Amino acid sequence: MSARILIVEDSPTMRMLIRSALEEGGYRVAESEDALQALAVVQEVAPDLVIADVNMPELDGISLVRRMRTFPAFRSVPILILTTESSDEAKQRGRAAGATGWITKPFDPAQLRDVVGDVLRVQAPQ
Amino acid sequence: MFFVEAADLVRHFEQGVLRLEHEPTDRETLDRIFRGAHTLKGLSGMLRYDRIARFTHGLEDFLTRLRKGDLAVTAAVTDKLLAAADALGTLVREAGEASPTSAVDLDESLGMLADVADIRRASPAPRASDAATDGGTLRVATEKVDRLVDLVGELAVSQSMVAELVARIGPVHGPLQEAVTRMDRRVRELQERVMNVRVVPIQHVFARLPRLVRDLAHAAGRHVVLHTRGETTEVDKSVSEYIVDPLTHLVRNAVDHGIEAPDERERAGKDRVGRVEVSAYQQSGNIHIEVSDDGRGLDRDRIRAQAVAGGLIAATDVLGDRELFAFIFRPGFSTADRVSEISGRGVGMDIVARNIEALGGSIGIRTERGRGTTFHLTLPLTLVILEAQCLRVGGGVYIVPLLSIVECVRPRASDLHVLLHGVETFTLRGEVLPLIRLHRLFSLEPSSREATDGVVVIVERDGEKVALLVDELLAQQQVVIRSLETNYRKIEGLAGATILGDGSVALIVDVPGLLASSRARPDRRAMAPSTTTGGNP
Repeated sequence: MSARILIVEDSPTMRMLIRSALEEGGYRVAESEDALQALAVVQEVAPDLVIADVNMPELDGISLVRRMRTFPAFRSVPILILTTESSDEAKQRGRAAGATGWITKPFDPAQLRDVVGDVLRVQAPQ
Repeated sequence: MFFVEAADLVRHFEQGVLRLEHEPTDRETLDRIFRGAHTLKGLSGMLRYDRIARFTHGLEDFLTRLRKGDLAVTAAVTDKLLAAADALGTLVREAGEASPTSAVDLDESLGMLADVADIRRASPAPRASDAATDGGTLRVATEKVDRLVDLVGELAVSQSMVAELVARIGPVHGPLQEAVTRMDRRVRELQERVMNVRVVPIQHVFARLPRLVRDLAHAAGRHVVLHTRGETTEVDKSVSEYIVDPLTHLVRNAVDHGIEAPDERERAGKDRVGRVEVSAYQQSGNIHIEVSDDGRGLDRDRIRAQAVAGGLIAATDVLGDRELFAFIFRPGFSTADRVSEISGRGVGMDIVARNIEALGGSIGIRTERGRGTTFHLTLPLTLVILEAQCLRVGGGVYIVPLLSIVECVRPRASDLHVLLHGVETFTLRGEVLPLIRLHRLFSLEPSSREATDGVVVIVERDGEKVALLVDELLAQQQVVIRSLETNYRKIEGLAGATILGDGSVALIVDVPGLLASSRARPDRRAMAPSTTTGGNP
């Protein structure tokens, strides 16, 4: 059974890019266009991994991580934040909020799959 | 997909900048602009649109300086941002067309953003386009507020759509119901507050009256003191603008026709100095304005004689005070002995009535011979939101302002009559009223041909009543009025349109118009109270 990944990203183009990169790697993908929607569907989707953009209207990705970590069921689900190389600060804040790691934009599809694969492998034995 | 999104982002960016120009300190707008540039940067980087990526990178740096407060948002800044939006739009378009050449000199555009020397030199004060602060109060252009009012009105409509859709699902789980209820409350509150922004004390209107009364009294050789009460009563700005003329006419009328000459007053045992009082108060969702004088009162006999002379009534007709006094609001009707410079030419009172009607209000008269006259205006609190009664006529939903409904009754066959010329009447406790079948007026198929299956809605304007036959009474709700004429041509019997909670369009019945047209019919006389019978089954 391939892993299920939830993408939280407000840009439809970016969602599509991530989705195609992941589907090529055989992952199953669900999408949310903002953090609130993600919070609403996350229980139902029960993802093995979440990829969340940092910069989103309403609730940003970091806050999403923080909130998800308050759900017992998602305390240990890996969450990758999507950020740009320019924002080291976002990576730090993401870490502090409980993000597992980050992916920098722009990313290469293969590189994205590598990071995702690594994180899931680390997670799997637990 | 990228190009659609990118074009959207550029457009939102530009709108954000325009907004920022008016509200330079609005953090949220700045954040939104930043987010747009950021998203575009990320996307163009991914998709290798290097020129866009490079430009948005520079733009992001510039915006970061604004966010950090390193630079204040000044006119020079918004100018730069708008230029950037233009450049960005061009870059996106060029990328979409895979254009080999570019109209944008990237280095120059980036240099423009990087060079902030001119901004630092410029005044740090934000461009005060049409907003000026003054000790905690803010002057804002009316049209800006109006736009807000419109939007909030539409929001309220959208909200009731959501509420209705949720209700239609049936019993839904708690949180959704709760969220809808909470949103409903917030929208209502928002609406009230926004409406409140437009509210001004009626003082602004009253302020001009003392001078007016003084000049009029002087010209007419009267001694008059003016008293005003309720100056702090708050009215919607639009209402306050529209009532200036009617109010001026009424006060003129009071001084010119109401108050007697000093000698005449003395002979009548009254103080030589007459008194005109203008007062305003708010009651049950309406604004009431009264203009009273302690003058001679309306002359019933003279009005009657004038009406007979004008062919409005027959000499033998028996009329109540209400019907009789209503004549003074007719165009060209005047009982003044002399034509003064300001009133008595029969213009004025009809304009008063027309303006008040146009506002969706009504006017009433109380008068006592030798003691004085009071004109009582009832106006809606606002002109945008209407307390409405929804009615079903055939398959359509129509709306009548709650303010104009006197009562609703189920007709009995014995109350319904057809007069000569096919005019129908409805008898309400002995009073014979013209009956209008709305479905006939609007050429609709009624649910039932039997009038007794329907409901009769009695509407009133200026003491005049008309019975409207409809199929069914539906809910009462607040609706936002939209003028029909902007979308359609003027339709007889309809005053406007609105969108209901379920998203359907409902038309607003033009009550004053219906009354006027029923009055205008040649057989109107057949309905005068003097001929109360007309039993034709």
